[in-house]
Amino acid sequence: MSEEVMTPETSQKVTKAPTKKVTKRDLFWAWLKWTTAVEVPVSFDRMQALAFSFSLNKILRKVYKDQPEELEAAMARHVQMFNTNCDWGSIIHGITISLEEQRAMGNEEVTPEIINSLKIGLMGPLAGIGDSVDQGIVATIPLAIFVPMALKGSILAAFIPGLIYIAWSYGWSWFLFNKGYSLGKSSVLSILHSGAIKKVIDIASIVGLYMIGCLSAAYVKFPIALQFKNSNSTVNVQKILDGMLPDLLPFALVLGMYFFIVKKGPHYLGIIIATMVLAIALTFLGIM
Amino acid sequence: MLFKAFLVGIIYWLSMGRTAYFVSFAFRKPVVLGVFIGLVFGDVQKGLLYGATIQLLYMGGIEAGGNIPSDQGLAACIAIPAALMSNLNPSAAVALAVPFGVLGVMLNNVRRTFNSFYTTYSDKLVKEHKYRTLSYFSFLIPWATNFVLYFTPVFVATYFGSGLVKAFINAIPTWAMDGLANAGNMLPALGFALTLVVMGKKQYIPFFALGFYMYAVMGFSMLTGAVFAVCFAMISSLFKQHDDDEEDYA
Repeated sequence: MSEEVMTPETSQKVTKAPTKKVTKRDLFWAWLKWTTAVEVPVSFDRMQALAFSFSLNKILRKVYKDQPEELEAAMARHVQMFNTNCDWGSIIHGITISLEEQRAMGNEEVTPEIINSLKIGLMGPLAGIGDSVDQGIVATIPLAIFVPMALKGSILAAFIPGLIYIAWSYGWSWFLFNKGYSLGKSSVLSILHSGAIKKVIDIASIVGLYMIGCLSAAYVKFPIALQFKNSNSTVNVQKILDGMLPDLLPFALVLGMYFFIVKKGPHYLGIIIATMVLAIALTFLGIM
Repeated sequence: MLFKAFLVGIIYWLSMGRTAYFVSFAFRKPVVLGVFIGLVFGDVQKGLLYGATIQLLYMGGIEAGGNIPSDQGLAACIAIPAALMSNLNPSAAVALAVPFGVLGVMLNNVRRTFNSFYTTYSDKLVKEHKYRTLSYFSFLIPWATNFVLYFTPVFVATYFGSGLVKAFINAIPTWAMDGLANAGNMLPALGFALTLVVMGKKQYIPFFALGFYMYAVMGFSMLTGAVFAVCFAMISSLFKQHDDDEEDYA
């Protein structure tokens, strides 16, 4: 949005369409539309594609006002497959808007290939980082801390985890949306590849994994009720297992599911149904 | 009753219709829904108790790539009204929540299949330069579709279901109820396993084991756990050589 002084040759191109600048207001509405719509039009084939084009729709119509063919091409490229983390991914919108604006102003160096490859190149890593940090840490750890208080009857405790999540994700996505717009493509790639962000991700992953360990130990239960009786003594299977290693079965259950998903893919529904059948069968047989 | 069922239907639509994703994500936690459904039925404390108990099922409820392993919103919006109306004990409410949590995943699959129609239609709209119409098909129309899809089952279940749910619960044999409750104890494992997959670094699995067994043996508060976690992360970054391959977090 800077009002930079135009050199003679660029100003000539700009005069073709003088009032096409993206304003802070345009950015705000595009951001609000993205965060509002993001998961609503999600489909199996193109995921968040329509939410992405919904966010950019008005800005594209503005910057390509007098170039109907370019506008159609831009709209067509933004209804293609897109999927990322809602708040971390906002940086992609910022970058894309800045690139489309430059292209509309006649910067031939910004080709559709660059725009598409940046979108597709960034959405995966950002989804990976974002889902880990948001759902592994921001959404999960406050729940772990406040749900026990809610169980004791505190209504305030029921709301705190959600409020933390809302404040974090709106704040962070607005920040990244603007950052993406002002940085442009080269600086974003350099930030993503710099050591600093890697270190942050490493620390976040370790914190997340450790906490998932604590939470698993606290909430996954796999109790064995089976007992063997003979004339003079009772053998309690759970006690034997606890003697070997406490909570062995819950631990094995989480890791077993982990390796199953890694090896066989995300068959969540199958896992859930198998677990339910197993639990009911084991209960019926008196093992659980 | 009609009005209460209507309100519960709206609550479920707001929680899973996903408009304003960050808000709906926070709203759909059973512990939060419990308070609102309790408000509808005039017993906030009881709603909160059911909600918080069902929440324990979904502590690691991650939604990687929009794939929900189970629908905590539907679980809460079916089980909590039924529990409030029939005065169930919390563990029976959990047993009721488990199968509906699974059913909700199918609802989400129906939604995403249906939305494919809109994405396909968008190509045509772009070709015809109908960009304003494209905007409607990108948000308002899918959202309205969500309303039909999400409001209806919960409304029907709450309005007609109170007697049915009670009969259902009385009809199920004890072993099946206990079995579902046991499944409820095991299923959080999936949420945690999925979080491990999303974190995506196999070499960090020892930190998971460390957290698991430190908690299993010592049983500290979660805030204490967070302090340990940050310390381990800082210590390990002291020894970290930054030569690992580029995109391993992708």
